[in-house]
Amino acid sequence: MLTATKQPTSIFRMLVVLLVLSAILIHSIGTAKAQSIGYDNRGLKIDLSEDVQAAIDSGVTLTFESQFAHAKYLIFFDWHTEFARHEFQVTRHTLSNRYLVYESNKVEPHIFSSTRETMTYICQASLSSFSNHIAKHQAQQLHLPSKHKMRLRLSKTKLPGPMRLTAFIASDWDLDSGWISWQSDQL
Amino acid sequence: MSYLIIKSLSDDASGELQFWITIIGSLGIATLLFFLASNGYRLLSQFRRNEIGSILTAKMVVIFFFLTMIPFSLIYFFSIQFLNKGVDSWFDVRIEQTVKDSLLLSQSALEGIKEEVISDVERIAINIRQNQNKPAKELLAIIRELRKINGLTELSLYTDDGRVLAFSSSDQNNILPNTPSDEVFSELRLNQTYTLLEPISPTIQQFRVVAPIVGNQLGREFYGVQAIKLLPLRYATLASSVETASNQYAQMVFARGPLKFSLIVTLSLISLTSLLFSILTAVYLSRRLVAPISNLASGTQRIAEGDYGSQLPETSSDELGILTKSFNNMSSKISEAQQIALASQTETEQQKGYLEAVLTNLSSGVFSFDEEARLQICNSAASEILGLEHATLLGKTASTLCQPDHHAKQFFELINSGIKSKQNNWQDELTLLGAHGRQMLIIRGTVLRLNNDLFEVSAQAVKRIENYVIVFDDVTNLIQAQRDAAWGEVARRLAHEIKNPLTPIQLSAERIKRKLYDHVDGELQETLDRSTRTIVQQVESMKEMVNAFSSYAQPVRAKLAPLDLNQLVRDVAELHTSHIHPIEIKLELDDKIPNIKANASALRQVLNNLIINASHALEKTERPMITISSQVAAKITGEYIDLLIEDNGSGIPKDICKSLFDPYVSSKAKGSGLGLAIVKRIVEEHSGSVWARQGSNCGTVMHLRLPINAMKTYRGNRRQNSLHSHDIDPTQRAG
Repeated sequence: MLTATKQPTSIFRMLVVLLVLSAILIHSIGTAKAQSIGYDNRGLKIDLSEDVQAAIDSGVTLTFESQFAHAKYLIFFDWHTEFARHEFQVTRHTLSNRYLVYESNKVEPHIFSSTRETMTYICQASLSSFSNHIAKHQAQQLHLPSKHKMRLRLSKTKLPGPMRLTAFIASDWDLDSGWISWQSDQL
Repeated sequence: MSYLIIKSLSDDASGELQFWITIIGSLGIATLLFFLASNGYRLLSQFRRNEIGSILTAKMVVIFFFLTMIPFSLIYFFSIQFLNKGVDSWFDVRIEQTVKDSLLLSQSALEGIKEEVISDVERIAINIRQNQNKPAKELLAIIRELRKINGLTELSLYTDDGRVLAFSSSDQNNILPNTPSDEVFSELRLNQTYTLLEPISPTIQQFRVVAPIVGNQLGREFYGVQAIKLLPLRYATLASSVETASNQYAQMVFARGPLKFSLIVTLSLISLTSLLFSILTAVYLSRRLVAPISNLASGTQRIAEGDYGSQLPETSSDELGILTKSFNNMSSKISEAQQIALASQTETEQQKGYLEAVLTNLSSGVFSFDEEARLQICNSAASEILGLEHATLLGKTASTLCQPDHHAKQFFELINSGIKSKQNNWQDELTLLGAHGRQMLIIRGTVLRLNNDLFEVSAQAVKRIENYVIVFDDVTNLIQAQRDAAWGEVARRLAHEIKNPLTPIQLSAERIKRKLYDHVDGELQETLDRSTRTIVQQVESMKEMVNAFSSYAQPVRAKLAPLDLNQLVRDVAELHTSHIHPIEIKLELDDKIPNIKANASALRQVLNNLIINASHALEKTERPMITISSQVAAKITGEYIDLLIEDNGSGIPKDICKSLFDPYVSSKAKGSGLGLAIVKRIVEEHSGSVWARQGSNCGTVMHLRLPINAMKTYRGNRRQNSLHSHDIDPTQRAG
């Protein structure tokens, strides 16, 4: 009697290789080098590209996320535990020709006449919020490590749907400071 | 999937859906590519290994691929065109103009309201400047009054450094004024009125107007007045709606390119997923369709290789299933037929083995020629009788066997002519001078006609195959035995019929002489005496002849006993030394020869006959000499002893060479011709053999070969003799 041919075991090996490559790709995307949001002279600075500027002026709402984390060094790697997150929604009010910044914990927007002022405010507010969080945690728990991490980035997943794919592909939309380590005295 | 695309185009939350479509599509493509690659690799490996069905599977996959690809390409092309035109149709020029006009209208309306508010605030500033010298309490009341009169939400006075001097609000719970930003004070320092429409919430908007008071001229620290007025709800709602619509339209215009890109990517992903899925399905279906055909091909190949009886799995009831079932039935029947054929072959082989055993043990020589007269079978007896090896005969045609100039040429010529005669049965006799001397062969030929209708059937007639079987026997010994028997019978009858009347004749002759001798005289008496003496002498002579015949006819019946042959030779030689003077008898005897089993008196007669014959042959020789030598026939097996009696006489006449040992054959005038016949008879009774050949000195050598153990058969002796037949004149050999 004839028997059906079995699937070769190499298929499972190839599947494992595919999964490993996918994990490496995802990891590389997650740890991409920060662009357009830099740390200079003890402060953050956001440089908007022309596409992003045009998007704001066209009424596209941008969401900036600032993430705060404790840093740990364990088994040759830097690990961090996120403990807080702050959001800034930036939009343009056409009738008044002003830029509005809605913060996650406030109802009324902050109004700015230019994007430069708007971005400056976001950077300062992020640092201020980070400083407040660190101070609050240090006051509550003295044994926490003195090294912390902060990250400010443009959330691509909260962009309007049709623009999301383009934002994921185009480097102009990579507004991300990356994880920046801060000592307590820097704040 | 089409539903998802339409939903992604129409839904406001299309981003989430499109994003997940992209992710799932990408993962799906990766998975399908992976399985497609593994299937392609598997198919390629099977193709390289020349596995049955791989080529057909590849062809079907290619056909399915093109059948899928052509409509898919058309649909994809028109979908892209439709998508581009569909998205472009959203951005109609009239819609865009309408949005712009509505925005402009809103701005104009708000501008009018703003001008009214500015006018009110500047009038309030003039009023405050006019009442600047009044007490603070009255001034506060004025401010409150002005706020109420002008319908303001909040009215406040500020110094040049931003301190609040007076404040009035419509909200009683509001204890602090809404302080303006630094930007406002910068405008005030330039003595300009600052105005701003501030959105508080989607439905609440307010005007913030700050006007300078120019307090330096008054000597007071008044600097500016700020008025906040909420936009009426109807205006605020409409403005908010226009703002939202305008923003959304601007956003759509901005996202036009990315939207097209996203939709094309999404459509491409879905299409590619569908295409890959179709190809994968094509591969699966091809394998499924080809599997029964591959099984059939594989099964057929196995049957071709001799693996009968293989069964295929019957997986379906369609035409392929019927074909598979038919194949299984065919395979079973072939297996049964093969088993029957195998059994038949085994039986045939057994019969062939039996036939070969029979042919091998047959004393008759058997040849079998095929329809081309090519020798196919030659048994061992045939090669032994002819003295030729199998290898030199097998495979050759009868005509080819006639060509070599060997001793059996005449034999094969007879066979060739017999085959060509096409007679069903034929028989012939042949005297052959071969390796064993003169041989009498009886040859019988038969034509075997086999009907080959099982193998080759023509439309006209069934082909008949003709084989030829030749059976031949070496009847030399039989004829010799018959001749010897006949001679023995003649001798016995002669001895019986002649010997009996001889004595009365002799007695009668002597009585006649005795009775008449005294009654006659003179010449008659002498005649009587001579006649009676002649009668008596002739009777005596006849008696001797009859006795000789009697000796020839009478077999040796005495028991065989161990005998020292050398001693017997010495005794006989000594006896004859004095009688046959001046013939010298020289003995060259090997003392190492063992005793043999023999009848001493019979062998003594043999020696006597041979020595007498030799002495007769030496009568005219100047230096007559008889040499008797004995030796072990070591060249053969050591079981024989050779005894040679050689003379240096004139040799054997050629005319009696062939019948030297036959009775009544003699070269002497007075010889009875029974001496050598008796010698041959006695030697053969001892299972030995005797033959004559020419000696080194032109004389005759009589060669006796006697077995040490006389129980050996005559046939065994003959085979041993043939091993050194090169030194024997075959024409003079006997026994």
